[in-house]
Amino acid sequence: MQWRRLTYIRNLVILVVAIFASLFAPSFVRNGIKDCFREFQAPIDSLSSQFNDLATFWGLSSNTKRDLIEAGRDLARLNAGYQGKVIENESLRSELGRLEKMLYLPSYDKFKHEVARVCRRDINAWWQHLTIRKGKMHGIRKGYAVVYAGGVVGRISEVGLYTSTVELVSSRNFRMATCAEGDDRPLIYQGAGSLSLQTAQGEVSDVPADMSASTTHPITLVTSSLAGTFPDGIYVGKILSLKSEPDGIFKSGYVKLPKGLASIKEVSVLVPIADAKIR
Amino acid sequence: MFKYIDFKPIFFIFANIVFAHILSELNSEVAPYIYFVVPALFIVPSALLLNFLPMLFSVAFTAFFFESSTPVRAGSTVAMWLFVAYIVHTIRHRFIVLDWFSLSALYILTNFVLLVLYFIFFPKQADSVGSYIVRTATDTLCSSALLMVVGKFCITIPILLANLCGIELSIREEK
Amino acid sequence: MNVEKTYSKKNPRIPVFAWVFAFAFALLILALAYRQIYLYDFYVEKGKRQSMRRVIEPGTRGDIYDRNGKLLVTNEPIFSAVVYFNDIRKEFREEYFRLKKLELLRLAQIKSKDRPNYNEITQKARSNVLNKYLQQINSILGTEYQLTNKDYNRHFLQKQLLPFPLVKNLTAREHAILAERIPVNSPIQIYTGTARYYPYGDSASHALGYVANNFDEDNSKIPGDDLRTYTIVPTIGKTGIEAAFDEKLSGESGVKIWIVDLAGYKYEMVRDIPPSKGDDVVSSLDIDIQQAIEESFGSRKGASVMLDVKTGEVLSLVTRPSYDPNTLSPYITHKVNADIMARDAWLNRATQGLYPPGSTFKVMTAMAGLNSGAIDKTSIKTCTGGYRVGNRIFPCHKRSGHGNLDLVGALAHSCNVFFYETGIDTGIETIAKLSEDFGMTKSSGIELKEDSWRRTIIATPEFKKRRRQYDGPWSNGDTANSSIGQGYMLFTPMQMACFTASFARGETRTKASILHNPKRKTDSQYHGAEKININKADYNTIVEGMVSAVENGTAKRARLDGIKVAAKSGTAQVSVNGKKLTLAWMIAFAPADAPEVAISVIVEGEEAGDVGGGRTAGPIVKSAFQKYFSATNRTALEVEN
Repeated sequence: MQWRRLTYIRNLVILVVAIFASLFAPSFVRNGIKDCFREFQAPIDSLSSQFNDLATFWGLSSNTKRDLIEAGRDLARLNAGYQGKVIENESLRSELGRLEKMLYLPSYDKFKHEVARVCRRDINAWWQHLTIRKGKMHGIRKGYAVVYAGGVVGRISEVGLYTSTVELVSSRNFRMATCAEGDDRPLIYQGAGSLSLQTAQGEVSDVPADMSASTTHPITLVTSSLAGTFPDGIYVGKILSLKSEPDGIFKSGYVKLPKGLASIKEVSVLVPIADAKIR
Repeated sequence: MFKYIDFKPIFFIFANIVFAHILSELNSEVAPYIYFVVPALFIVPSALLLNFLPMLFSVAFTAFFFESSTPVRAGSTVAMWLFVAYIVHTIRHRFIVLDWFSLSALYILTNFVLLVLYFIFFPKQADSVGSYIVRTATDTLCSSALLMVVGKFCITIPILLANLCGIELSIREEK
Repeated sequence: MNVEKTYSKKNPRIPVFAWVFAFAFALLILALAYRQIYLYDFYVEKGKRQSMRRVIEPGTRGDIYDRNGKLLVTNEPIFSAVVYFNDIRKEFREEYFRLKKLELLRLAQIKSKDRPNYNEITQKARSNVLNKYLQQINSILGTEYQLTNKDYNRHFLQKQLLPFPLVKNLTAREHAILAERIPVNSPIQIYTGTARYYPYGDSASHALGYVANNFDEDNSKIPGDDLRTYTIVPTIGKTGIEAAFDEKLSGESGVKIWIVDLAGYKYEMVRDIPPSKGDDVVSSLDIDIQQAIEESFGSRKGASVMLDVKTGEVLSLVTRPSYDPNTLSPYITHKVNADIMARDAWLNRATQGLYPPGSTFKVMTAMAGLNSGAIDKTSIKTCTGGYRVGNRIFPCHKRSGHGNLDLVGALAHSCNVFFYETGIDTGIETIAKLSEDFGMTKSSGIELKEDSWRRTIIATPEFKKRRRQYDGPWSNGDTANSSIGQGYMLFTPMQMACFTASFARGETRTKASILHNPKRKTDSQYHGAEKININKADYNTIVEGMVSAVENGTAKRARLDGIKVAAKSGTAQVSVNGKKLTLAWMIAFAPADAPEVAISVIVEGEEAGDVGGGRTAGPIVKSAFQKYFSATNRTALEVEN
């Protein structure tokens, strides 16, 4: 019985020491271990994402020739449309450059797009982020904007060598300067956090009192380039209702975010061109 | 040399990593509606089947692994997991039979305690206390349901695989 | 001696002492019980109230619109990066202990027996923490804002519960950058205050007015009056509509009552009443007409008032020179005040300026003459360029004389001689009585500050006897001068506009209003008016004379194609500080047959003879009517002014 008691005491002491060490060890030790484990985990996340891509490829390769021909035909049709848009884009870009030169304006092109696959989604009551398959080695840094075809995804919050964490636009810690489409007055958007069994929402504040929104006439919220992180005009969500603040100058309301945000497979990180050139 | 190396914690760590990967895939699919939070899945098998020090190592390693992709204070998850693992380890003898009911009860209770700790100590991501409670309650319920389904398998499958590799796993007193 | 007897217990003094002590203790216990039990609630409440603080936040002021819904005055948000001392209290303490430890080490090293200066350490700790956050802002924004000890010490002593501004007046870009880059849970927050904003700058500034900080706000009606109070300073209207409707425009102040701890930091909020915005005011001004008149004034000094004839609503109230009320918010700097004073721009000439009316007064003299029978519509008088009264020749402005003129011609050509004679024949008492009937010594009724009406003068013998005794007794010369609006006569442009509107309507009084209210019933009773006591034919004669002045007389420059304008010009002479100056007047209404608007314009000359009623004030009247009637497409806008 003696050794049982000794063992019990020994185990308790070891536990207390372990807990104390994990909580109160110097922050560089704790954060260092955390970063090591992140780099350890990163290839596993990347690998599983790549396996998914492989599985998708095998799934597609099991399609019949007829399916492939039809898909190819649809794709060709889309490509033809896009090619026209590309040509139009090029002419608009050259016109923009000509006007910028004439009026001595800075270049509009401020960002380079770095496409990345999403390998993990964590959306719960405590954090909301995605893990993407690109990191420092691809020129990504903390604070860069992340977008997708449907609008804003979020901002890079942590960067590893090969993976990065994106703080989602619906996260409570995410705040950005936005504006209403067609209006340049800044509105402040903040994520509303996690909601149970619902699509993501956000909150908007500092809305001028002369604006009004309803479900039939919503206000489209887009990004503003005032803060320099996001370019102008990227879709954020729709403001469906506004209520006046006591000061009478501003209103606030809720923003409905796009449904596709929850199932993004590919995102684009906006790398500022100045930073990209330096690297 | 290999005769003296204890592979059991390494075995559990490997099993935990596989379970973690499957869980993250599942959570990625069901996001954003629910999120399965099942730390008990990674603690209970180690706590029941390993001796104290190997159990501590296994749980701590898994906790660090989990914590690396979360924005919480480094070491906080480890502390919570170790605390709960210790408690499970001290009462492991009551679960020698490894029947479904006892195991599920242990899983659910352990998970619940950890989720309460998460609820108190982790940063809240909701605009009001009400929606925070609703969200954690929903996640807790769904996680508990998941544990009832897969809980026993997360112990029996590693035991089977370990037996195939010649490693005997059972709940017994530490020498 | 019997020792026993000496120390016997039966000494009668001992019970006495015992009773005295017992009584004293009983009293003490009663007093204690009274305080501890009976007054328990009182002291608990007192303790709570000692630890309570009240924070008052004023409501936002309402907006001011013009009659067409254009925003004339509103509130502009002012963003500041602030911290609440409560949120960084722990950091203050940690920094204090760190500095204290360093100081003790330093003193130990130099083996000094002095004690550390704890007050200095406290201030240094606060400074370090606040500067840390300020540096964070500077590194994000790329700026070099700084704080002084005085800033936060004063705030700590006097405004502990209020937000402490690290950076004031953030630009939109700075606000957006800080909102994105400062962590959500940082103690640095963005605080939104308001400042009054006047989108039209110095246009209608005297009518609209301005606001200033109100340090004497009465907060006795707000809950918690007996608590120590921290107030965010509200504003109060000082002049114009801002002052006249201050109560309506001011919102309701909000209040938060906090329980604080021993150090005065917030502990728990026990009451929260949010502030509410004040009501909006719709003024009667038409900003387009206002700006058109201001533009035609150019850089000249003067005033103009334009009224809706039927309702008395003020369509424009122009005073030049003016000031930009945006430069007066949130407070008036010494430099701005000096500039406004140097330009003499504080005075609201439209309602407060006193001027002799000049020849515009001839309309009154004509009415008095017709009323009294001194003249009729066919009366002819001869103008030879001057009129002898006693031993003095009173000149006409046309030295060669106008020849024979009837009333229509006299009004059209503004013949002084005709009106000298008419005035003397009519008598000053009749003219003065008629002027009083037209309210020339009364307030116009406008809601703005207008105390100059008390100093307007209708010249009468009694007035001269009372106030100008040194000038001698009243004579016919005085009557002659008064008949043409010179001499002692003094009126404000507002009164002249009201007179014009009243005459246009055929009534004696017009009640002016700066508020737009289309539902208001504006009949004679509202204006407090009666019908003018002359027959229709005589009235029409005067109108014909005024129309003729525009067609081919002294008011030609006010002519407007397609609209019949009735006007009377006037050129008055004044002496200011020994220097002779000329004032250019014009009163007018249009359309002459069915009047809608009436206007009075006065332009101050800078030297004798540099301005004239017709040539200077005429174009201003024309611009005003052009703008008014072009709004309803009744006359094409001329290309050249």
